[in-house]
Amino acid sequence: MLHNATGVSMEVNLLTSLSDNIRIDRDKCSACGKCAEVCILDNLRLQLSPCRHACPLGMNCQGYIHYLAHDKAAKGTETIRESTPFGGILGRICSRPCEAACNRIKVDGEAVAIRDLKRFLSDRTEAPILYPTGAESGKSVAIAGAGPAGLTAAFILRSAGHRVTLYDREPTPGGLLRWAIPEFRLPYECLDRELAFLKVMNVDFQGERTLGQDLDLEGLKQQFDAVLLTLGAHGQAKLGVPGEDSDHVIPLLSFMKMVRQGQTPSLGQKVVVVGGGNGAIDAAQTALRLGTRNVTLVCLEKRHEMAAFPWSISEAEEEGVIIHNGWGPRSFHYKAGRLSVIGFKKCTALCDAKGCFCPSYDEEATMELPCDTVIVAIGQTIEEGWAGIVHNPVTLQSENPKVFVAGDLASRAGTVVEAMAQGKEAAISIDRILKGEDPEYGRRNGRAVEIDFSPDWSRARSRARVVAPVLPMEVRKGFEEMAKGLPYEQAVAEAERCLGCGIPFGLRTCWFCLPCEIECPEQALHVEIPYLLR
Amino acid sequence: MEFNEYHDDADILIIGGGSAGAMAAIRAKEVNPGQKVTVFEKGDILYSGCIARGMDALNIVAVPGQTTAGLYVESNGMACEGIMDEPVNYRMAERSWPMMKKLESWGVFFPRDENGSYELLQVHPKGKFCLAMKEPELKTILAKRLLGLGCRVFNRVMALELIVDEGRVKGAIGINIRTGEIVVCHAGAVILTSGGTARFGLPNNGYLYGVYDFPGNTGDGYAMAFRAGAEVTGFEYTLNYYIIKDINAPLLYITLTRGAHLLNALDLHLEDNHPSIKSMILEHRKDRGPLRIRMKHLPEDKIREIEDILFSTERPVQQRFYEGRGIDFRTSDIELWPTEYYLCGGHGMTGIFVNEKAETTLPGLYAAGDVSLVARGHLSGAFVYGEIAAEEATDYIRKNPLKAGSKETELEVLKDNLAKRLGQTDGEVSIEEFEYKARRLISDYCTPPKNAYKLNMALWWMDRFGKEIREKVRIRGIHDLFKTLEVDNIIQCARLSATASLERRESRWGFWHYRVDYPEKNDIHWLKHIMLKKGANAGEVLVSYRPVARMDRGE
Repeated sequence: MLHNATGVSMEVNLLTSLSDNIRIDRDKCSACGKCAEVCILDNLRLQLSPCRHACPLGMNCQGYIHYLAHDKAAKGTETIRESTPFGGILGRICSRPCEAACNRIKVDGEAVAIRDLKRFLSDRTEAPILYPTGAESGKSVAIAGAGPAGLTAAFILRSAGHRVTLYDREPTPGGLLRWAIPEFRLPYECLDRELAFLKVMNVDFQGERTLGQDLDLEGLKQQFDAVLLTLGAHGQAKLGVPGEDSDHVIPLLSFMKMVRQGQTPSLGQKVVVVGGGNGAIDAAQTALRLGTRNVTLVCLEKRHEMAAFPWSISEAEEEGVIIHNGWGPRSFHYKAGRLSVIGFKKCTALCDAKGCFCPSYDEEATMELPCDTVIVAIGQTIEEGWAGIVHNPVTLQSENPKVFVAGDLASRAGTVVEAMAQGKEAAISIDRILKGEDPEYGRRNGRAVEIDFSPDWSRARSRARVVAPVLPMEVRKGFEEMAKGLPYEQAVAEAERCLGCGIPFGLRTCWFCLPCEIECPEQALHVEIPYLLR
Repeated sequence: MEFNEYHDDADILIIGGGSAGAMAAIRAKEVNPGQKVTVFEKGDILYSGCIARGMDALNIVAVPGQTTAGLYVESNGMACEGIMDEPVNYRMAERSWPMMKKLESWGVFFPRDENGSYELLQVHPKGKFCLAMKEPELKTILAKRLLGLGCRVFNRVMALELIVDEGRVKGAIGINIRTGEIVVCHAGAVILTSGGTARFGLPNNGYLYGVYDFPGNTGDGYAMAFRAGAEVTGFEYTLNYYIIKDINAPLLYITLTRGAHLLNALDLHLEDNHPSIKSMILEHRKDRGPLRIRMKHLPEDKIREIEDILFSTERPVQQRFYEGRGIDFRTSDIELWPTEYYLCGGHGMTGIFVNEKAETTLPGLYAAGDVSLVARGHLSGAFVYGEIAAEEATDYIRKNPLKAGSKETELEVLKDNLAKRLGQTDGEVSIEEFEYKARRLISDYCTPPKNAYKLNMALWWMDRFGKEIREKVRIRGIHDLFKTLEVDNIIQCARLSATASLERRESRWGFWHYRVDYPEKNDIHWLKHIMLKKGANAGEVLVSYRPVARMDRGE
């Protein structure tokens, strides 16, 4: 649509005002985009739903929700598995960029519960996952780091028929999924279930191997056809406050690992968690469940600046965590060899004028909190020696053509889904390299999609978002999973809230040859004779 | 925008993944499984080209015991009014039967009667060569086969220029029409199978495409071969067809050969005299059209048979068309009408000149299918010469291995050119409007009835369009860009067509090359090919003649 000099919009010519002869049945279309892929005249495009556009994995959320709403749960599960084998994990702990982008918010203020629906579809036991692998390629890949990025890459590369050896310094795979995310959010049953592919697909997992100690990069480069580094960011940032090095001041990851191993030290009655991110919240709720009576969380950030998910912050407060915003640690005080008080100074601003993280303080405004244990959860860094690996942002290939990076090691997006997405991209690059193909071709842009459009909301009716059942407060003492998952009827009702934003459309250069119709998995597309020829 | 560049190395590069190209790819891997075969395909190879849903017949199969290659040569020679290279056509007819059997072994369905005989129909002046085929999955069968054999397909890549070095064709440069990425393929030999110019003249139905050739065929291969210095021919053979009015789907031979009647507008029956497309157009031109196909007298089982083929193969969308107009073969007639004009080696005689080895006049460059001249070779020609091109190219590479490290300066020039065109963001006219006008004027001036005045006007207009496409057209993004490049090629083909038509000072081939200023056929002077070749100066077109190749009658 063009605008002339006076701002009036006008049709350009006869050809653009031809009627669109492609008819889509919205009750059947799952917005998969197959029609646009197969159109031989470049006539069809897909209006991409904002949820799918926001998802780093490009998952067709609209698609799986559509199937659920139409009594085709099995197809919904299948749709998720086209993007990831970890639907249950993401369905519990994903940061949900999809929901933040959901157009439903504009109708009744609340997004569709996309994550809960993903969990519902992934937890279905009627659909055991098959793990087909391609013909053996004769090529081998080493992956160092069995966290979300490494696991995703292992799955994709093994599916492609390459031999995969997955190393990790811990005895069991999972990375932070196992060693940092608390059990009451991600139960081990779910984790182990979704990691079963390692055994079934014959991925060679080698635990208790540490890169730089009993495993060396040069050796891997020689032994394997490609090497992927997904070491994560396990360096624990220090406060830089005197008195920090003590048994009673525990870094977050160390703390969570001890809990996981059943080797928690005695925490005393008063625990202070320093930090404002999800890790800090996790630590606070964990401390409560370990029997600590007073758990306080203190962070530099104001409430709205906290990096933790807002829904998690509310949950923690409900459980009794006390939160103090806008304070930075200043001093530790010991009494008879034991930690007794932690002193804070007021943080007046988090960032400097340029917006860079550079907290400023009012040294005169102070606060003191009695404590037995302090857990430091102020952020992770890439461990020494592994930071700053230069790499191609699209292919994730480093300057050494055999070596690739992904996940927190490559870029600090810091979420599980982003790490998985990078693992996937790195795996695609490696697969292409092993096949002798250019790794970058076709990956920068140019899918046949449109993201700037107004969806058709004519069928939307205001309805409140479903509230997924959670464990009642009284029962939240142990590490049982808190969120319970939706029952079928509620899941379907929630799925019906989806507006179905994405849809294919034609550019009016149709030849009515019909492959789009033939390839549509839902028979949702019908090619009409254009009016001019009818 | 930055044009990212990707390099691919192949033994054989095939430009165009339709019937001829797919067959060439398969054959190249059959004769040498170790060689690397790359295909540039403008659409998506699974369904691309003219046979998205198959074709209702293989028009040329010399069935042993029924017809011979020699009879075909004689028959087609008549249809081409003498301008037909016999050895090229003989070789095609010779291989047509084994080709058909090969397709059958791959699962392509050719109906047989209760005695096991194939269904043969007569569409040529002599002999029944047209063998019925009923396989809507023809293209997917071929596509899956070539992918399974390990051919590397670049979908959405339109070839822009051939790479020529020291007189030999060594690959091509293409552009991804969705991402704008440039793909440079160096190859030992190139096979051009990019089809004809289906978007040439403008249909009169207000829509963009009329003929049943794939509308993505915009003469890219003709233009590239010409720019690289190969000889092309037959551009005066501006062709149109006579098929179902408005929807332009085929049904003529399927129905006529089963007893349907053909009537003109005055209710005169014409089915008895072996009506051809040519004769039907002449009838229409004498103001006695539209002609109609009538089937209401046919028995129910014959009508069902016809419906079955028409509604499943080639243009199955016809069923909806008839429903929309309330047409039932049992009660209504079907109207026929002339299509717009187009250029095509398969239906017509326009193409890159090739010999019976599919060699063009440039070393390293082969051509097959609609982009080449095998004189009305149709699908059989595409398949057979696709194979021959692959065989010959394989042999050529073995004898002339490519030396590594040739530099193309053309690449930087090309990227510069593309960048400039992408800068035309404020042009006053959309590319669709521009194409519409260009094709309307091609219809006005390049097509019959021709005369010197009109043909010279055609050249004048094409020169003007060549300037305006760089000055007036609005190009915003890659989609507009590739449509513009297509129109570049259409204009080039129009130039070649007007030039050749001006040269052939006679009339021939029914209405297709009818010149009002030279209304008679003149075999004394014009029984020869008119060849076009790029001259040394920019825009120069050199015209020459080539005698028609005949075979020893003692064969």
